[in-house]
Amino acid sequence: MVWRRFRSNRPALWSLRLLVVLLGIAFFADFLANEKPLYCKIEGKRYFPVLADYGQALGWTNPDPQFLNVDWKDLEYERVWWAPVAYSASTIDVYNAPFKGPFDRQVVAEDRFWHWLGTDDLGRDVAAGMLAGTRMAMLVGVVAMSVACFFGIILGLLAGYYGDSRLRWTRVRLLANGVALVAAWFYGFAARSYALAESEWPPGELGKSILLGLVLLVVANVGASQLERFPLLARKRALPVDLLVMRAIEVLESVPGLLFLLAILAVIEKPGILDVMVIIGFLSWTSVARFVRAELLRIRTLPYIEAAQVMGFSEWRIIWRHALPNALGPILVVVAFGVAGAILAEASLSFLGLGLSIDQVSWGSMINKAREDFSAWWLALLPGLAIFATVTIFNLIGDGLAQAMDAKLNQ
Amino acid sequence: MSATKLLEIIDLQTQFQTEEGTVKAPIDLLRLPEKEMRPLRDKDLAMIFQDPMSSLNPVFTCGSQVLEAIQLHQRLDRTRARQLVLDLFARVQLPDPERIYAAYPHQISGGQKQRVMIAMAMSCQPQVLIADEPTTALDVTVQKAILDLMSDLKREMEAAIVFITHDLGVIADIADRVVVMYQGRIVEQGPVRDIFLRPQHAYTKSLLACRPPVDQALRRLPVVRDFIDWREVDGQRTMVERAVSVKQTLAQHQLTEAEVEARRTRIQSGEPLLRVVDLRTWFPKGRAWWGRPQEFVKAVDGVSFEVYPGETMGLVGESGCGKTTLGRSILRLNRTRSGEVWYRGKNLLSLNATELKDLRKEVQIIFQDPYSSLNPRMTIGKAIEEPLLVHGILGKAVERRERVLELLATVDLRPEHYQRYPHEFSGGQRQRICIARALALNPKFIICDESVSALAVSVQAQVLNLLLELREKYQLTYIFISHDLSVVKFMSDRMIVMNGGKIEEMGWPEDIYQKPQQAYTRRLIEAIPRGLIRDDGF
Repeated sequence: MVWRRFRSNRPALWSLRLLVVLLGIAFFADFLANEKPLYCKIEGKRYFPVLADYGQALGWTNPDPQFLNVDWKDLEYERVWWAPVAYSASTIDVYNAPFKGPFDRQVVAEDRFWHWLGTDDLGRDVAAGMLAGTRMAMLVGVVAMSVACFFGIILGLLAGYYGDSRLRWTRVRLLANGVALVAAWFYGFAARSYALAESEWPPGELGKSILLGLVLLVVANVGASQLERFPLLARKRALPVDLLVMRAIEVLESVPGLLFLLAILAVIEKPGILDVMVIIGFLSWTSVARFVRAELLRIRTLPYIEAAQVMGFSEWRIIWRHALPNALGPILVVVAFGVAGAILAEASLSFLGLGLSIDQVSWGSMINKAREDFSAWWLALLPGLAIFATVTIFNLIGDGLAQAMDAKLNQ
Repeated sequence: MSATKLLEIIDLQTQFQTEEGTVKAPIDLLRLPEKEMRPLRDKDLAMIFQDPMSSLNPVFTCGSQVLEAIQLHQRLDRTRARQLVLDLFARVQLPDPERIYAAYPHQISGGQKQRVMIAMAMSCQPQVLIADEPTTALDVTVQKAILDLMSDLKREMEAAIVFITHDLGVIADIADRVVVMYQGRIVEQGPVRDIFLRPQHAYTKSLLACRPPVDQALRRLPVVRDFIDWREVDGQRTMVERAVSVKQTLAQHQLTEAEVEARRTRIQSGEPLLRVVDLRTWFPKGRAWWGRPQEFVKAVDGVSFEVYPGETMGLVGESGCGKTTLGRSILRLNRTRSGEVWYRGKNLLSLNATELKDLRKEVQIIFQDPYSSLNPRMTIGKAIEEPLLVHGILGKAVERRERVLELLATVDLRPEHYQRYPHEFSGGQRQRICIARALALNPKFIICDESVSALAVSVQAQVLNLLLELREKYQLTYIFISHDLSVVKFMSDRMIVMNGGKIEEMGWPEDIYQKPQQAYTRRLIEAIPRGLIRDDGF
């Protein structure tokens, strides 16, 4: 039903088709733009250099010593298949630097090595950069929204299902958990900040801190269940989950997003692109949580939830198996809009020169290069259009989903 | 309203298989071209819908909505139009028209909303008023008041009313002529007396018979199948009417007094299965600034009763009387304020989570709304299987599947329904699925909370029969909650009349029906549509 109504919305349907194309590009970017040939035959031997790279990355094969530090374009081939764009995003073509446009005179050995979309200040191919940028944008969307969904769904579920009065704990358990949380933060993170600051990736010290916190919580709960024997301590009190989560959301949302991002990145030492993605996710869980909460407020009053309670199902089972699957539709809408927001945020940061290492390319960092030479229109126009198109695609899909799932039209 | 719309509505009704109505001044609208239709639609035709809750716009006051309708159709200045609205409100017997004029829809009751809708429909003095199940969503007492009002208006305004409903009892009160529809076709029509006293078509007979009678005790209700057979002839299903009268069929199913007496003594000989002592469920209303509740809505206020094993305890009252809250409180779906609920020597209200989980197996509930009491994302097989899985009743997946298929068969559903989703089923079938799910845990005690109120009369009869069969088969004990006195009387061994959170009256259904002690009970009984009382009414 929803799918039928979504399909009748032509802009949304075409956006979805384009998204599939974009995902295809992101997935096969290495085969579309690579400085190494897809297949070649040298002195009677066949090679698949691009596939061999994947093998090395996975640790299955060792690099072939004869190809270390060679310029692939200088080799003598009996037979060779190049990728459609014969450059990687990080390949530096010194003969065509800086800023050669698509219609400028370029120094290339063969026509197929022409820089169709021009080069940047270092002589890197813009077409290859666009393809690598697609992969980066999709990755940002997926990683950021996964993080956002993880926190957003869990907190939204708790807030919406339990509200302010339905999660009732005994006094002693509330107290013990409160104390344990403060203690876990102090001993796990505040007091060990020296160790955390020095630790490298993967952060073993961080794991130790989390483990310490969990141990403290378990101890607190075991102690609490022992102390629950005393009637005075066993009086039940409601934990206002909804209140706590909603106030946390309001505090987070009251700070302008991009400024918050910059502030956090300023604190982190040498922020990588992964840090950027995760932090964008951290900042956008609030919208997911609010939608999940709103859905849960509606769903938790429906008879099938009560039927599940009467049949003695555990709260956990009711939330995951009965409430969450029915709340997923609206989450999809938020995720579609969220991906658009995440891509835009990453582009802004890359434009400011934050997050990416030297050899990484994204649409935002390409636009940044255009600032150095205003005549290099190809560096501003093409990635700008790509960002615009991708964000529009996700927004149209989000609109289409929202319309298709509108409860009022359902009747 | 356009001609196509009228056509659409009739199309829609045929899906429900039943329709009865009265037409005083028939007009052939379907052949009318759209141009000539428009003035007719503006002035001569008006419509009242079933659900008064959603047919008024919540963001405008009731008065301004009627005012808008008037100004759309008649050239009246604002003050005169306003006066007309107030007149109309007074005419549909709304108390304090000035207040209702300024009130928003959520501030007035369901019955009052339906009156506002009637006022709006009458504002342009239509010649034909089409009322599509206008009282189905209302309480019996409110329904009676609305029906009285519509009869009055019919006389006063000389308007024809097309009254569409699935409930023959209502028809007898308001109609002059009746048209009976079955599977998209008119099967019978005539003056209301003839239809009720000498029904010709088998379907009409079954409709007359399947409404629970208030003056007889029956073993089971007659259903459509008692009157109509379906046979395969040359690969086509054809309808074969059985030559039986309503009276014969009812007599066939009648319980003798001796049987009733025997059942009563048998039930009362045991120990009570459930004992409710001074139960109070209060909901906080106003709160002081530090959060302590100051005022309470006393939904259940000091209720005590006992239910014996195998008994069906009926619970009847208008909406808002606390009967549903009582049922939910027994199951601990609400927080209670004080009182005790003893079930087999255990106080349900003081059990901890693990003890409660064990008892959940024995006490189940069947809800009113068959559309939202099943998880839309779960196949019905999975839904019925889940309680078995959670309580670890049958270890192997194959055994559980066997049991689910067995349960489906018990409630007259087919094995191939196992893989289907709830939206593929009709209301009656869904209610059967809910019953099967409740039975999965082998409960001893089931609370039926308005379980048949959302169903059409003929489907309702089938579900009630099923509940009775299951009561005998599994030795079940029911608390049967409904706003419909005749249904409760048919189902129950004893019944309770509730009002304002308190028990108004408790006793044998015949005694309550024939010699009501309280004014409130009398009012409820008088409000039952008189079409149910077959022989002495005409």
